[in-house]
Amino acid sequence: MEIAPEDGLKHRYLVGVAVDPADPDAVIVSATDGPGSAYWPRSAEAYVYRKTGLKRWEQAMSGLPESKGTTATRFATHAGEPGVIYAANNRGLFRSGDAGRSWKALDLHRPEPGLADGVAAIACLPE
Amino acid sequence: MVGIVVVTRAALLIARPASTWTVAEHLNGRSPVSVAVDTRDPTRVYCGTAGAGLFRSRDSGRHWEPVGPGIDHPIVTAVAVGNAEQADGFGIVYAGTEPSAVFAPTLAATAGWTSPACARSLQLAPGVFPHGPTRIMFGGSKPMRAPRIACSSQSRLARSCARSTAGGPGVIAFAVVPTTRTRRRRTRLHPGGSTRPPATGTSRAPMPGTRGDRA
Repeated sequence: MEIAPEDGLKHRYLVGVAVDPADPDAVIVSATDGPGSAYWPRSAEAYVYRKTGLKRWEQAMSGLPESKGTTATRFATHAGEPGVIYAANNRGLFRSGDAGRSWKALDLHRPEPGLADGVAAIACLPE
Repeated sequence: MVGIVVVTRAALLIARPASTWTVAEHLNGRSPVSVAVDTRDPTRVYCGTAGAGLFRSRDSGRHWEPVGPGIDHPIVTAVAVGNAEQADGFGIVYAGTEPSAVFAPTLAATAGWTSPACARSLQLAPGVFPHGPTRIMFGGSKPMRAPRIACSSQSRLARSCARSTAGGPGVIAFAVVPTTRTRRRRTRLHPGGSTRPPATGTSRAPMPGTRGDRA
């Protein structure tokens, strides 16, 4: 049976997107039901999906906070770190070392970063 | 490990890895909405704001200066830096604005700005995206042409925009699709080798009053 490009996506309002620098077939997106659940923490409910090749989209939330109350995640990658994807939302900054299969929160030193209202954009900054 | 630039409504945050991650705040009160790093010279970082125009840092985000005079609109919803084109040795900067327009420097990096004719038909605040060595892609609410690109929109994700309406009701973000698979082992042995630097910071926030705003 042929798989449609959006098969597996239960939420169709897509916000963040990234591709593994090492694998053009590995794509990750953040998705919600609509803008009301994407940008505003009080009504937020955002998910992260991952897809490889022609397979279906699958949720990739391992290590991320629960969807309820989490704004749409933004992603960033850098060519110097193949397989690594960074993510940010109102709950914090996260890093995946396996191209989005699982995530680990970055231990940010205080002062508490002002992420509570959500994240508009993110970029990698090589030092 | 790289540093991370995070754009929030309140400020631009820069997280730097050390023994622990440290976070510094910049552009407080300027309502930053977009960010891009010059991959040719990562000390150059650009930040678009919702009302205060475009800012530039020449020291990896430690200090910022306005570079927006000449851009007709102060709301810079998207910013990108071309990988190949240069002005004064630095990548050409493209700024997408609300009302919808795209601006690029005329000669030197900040000597003046002009709106490329190819971008004038865009509707809504455009996304801006450096694509490949010679091209910049613009995404608005109209369909666009791009052979290998991933972009998220309010209704769908498209990877082959040349034959789809990638813009749909409005492009929200772009991401690079590498043209070839890179073997991780090879990349580890030759960091910074053949892998093309991806564009970063092309995502943007919905602006109040636009279709991407709260439903």
